[in-house]
Amino acid sequence: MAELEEELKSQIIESLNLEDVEIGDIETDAPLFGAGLGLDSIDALELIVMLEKFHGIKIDDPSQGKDIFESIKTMAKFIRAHKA
Amino acid sequence: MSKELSILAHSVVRNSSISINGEKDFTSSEQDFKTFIKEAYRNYDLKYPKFFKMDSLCKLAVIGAEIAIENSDLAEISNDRIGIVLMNRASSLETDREHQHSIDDRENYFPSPSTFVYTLANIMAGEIAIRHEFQGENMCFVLSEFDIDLMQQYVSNLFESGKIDACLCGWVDFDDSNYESVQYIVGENSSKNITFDVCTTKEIYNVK
Repeated sequence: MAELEEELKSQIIESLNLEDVEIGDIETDAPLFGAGLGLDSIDALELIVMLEKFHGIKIDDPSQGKDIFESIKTMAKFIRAHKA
Repeated sequence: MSKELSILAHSVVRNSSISINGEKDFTSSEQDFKTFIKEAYRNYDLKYPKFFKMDSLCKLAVIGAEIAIENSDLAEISNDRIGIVLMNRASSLETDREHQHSIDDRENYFPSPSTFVYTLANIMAGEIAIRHEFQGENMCFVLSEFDIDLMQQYVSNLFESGKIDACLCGWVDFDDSNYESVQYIVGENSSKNITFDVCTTKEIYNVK
């Protein structure tokens, strides 16, 4: 069940060049932006590309991003719902 | 009347080695730039995670600037009075190629936004400005070689026009793993008494 979450953490670290961050440092429920990993607007765009590249999901409405990319948990939930 | 300008500090990064004010300060046996610059980052303890998101040109520029700035006393100068004037030859070509590669194949078309934002040479000046909160004039020239005469004239004019009280200047070039950063801080006072002139800048640039 948590395999997708771990996979997402690994993809985020690699795609966003989070040099000093390890998989264990990212909490599944923690916010990715702001106080969490401190990601910025360019990272948000990179996450959209990441979803399409690794999971085949294209986000047509960028305003959805705020909810989808709130945390690893919300990303995984979105991917599962999309693939169901 | 011309202002007396001095070079407050200078740094040179080339051939896996870093010099501060003419003295070797850090050398690595690592020939690969990406590994070398990461070692330099750790050595100087930058504590700036954004560094790892930058392209090679910006990493080179930020490390070279960091060392020159740390060795200058800019504490009394307002951030909006500190300028940045840089030159290079290859512009952002290394990252341009990387971006081009990511859009070559229409079947595997995933251009990276974080790569694309570095497809401009003046981003290196921007990254330095963000890191140090410099808000003065900034300029980036793309030229076939380091034009020390132009740099002298341009920076002197900025001081003469009263727009800046200090300026980070230099040549920062990266292309196909060949790299070179020569950066120096120009200001109005220096106990070290290194005069800001073409001859001195040539000496700094030519030290291998």
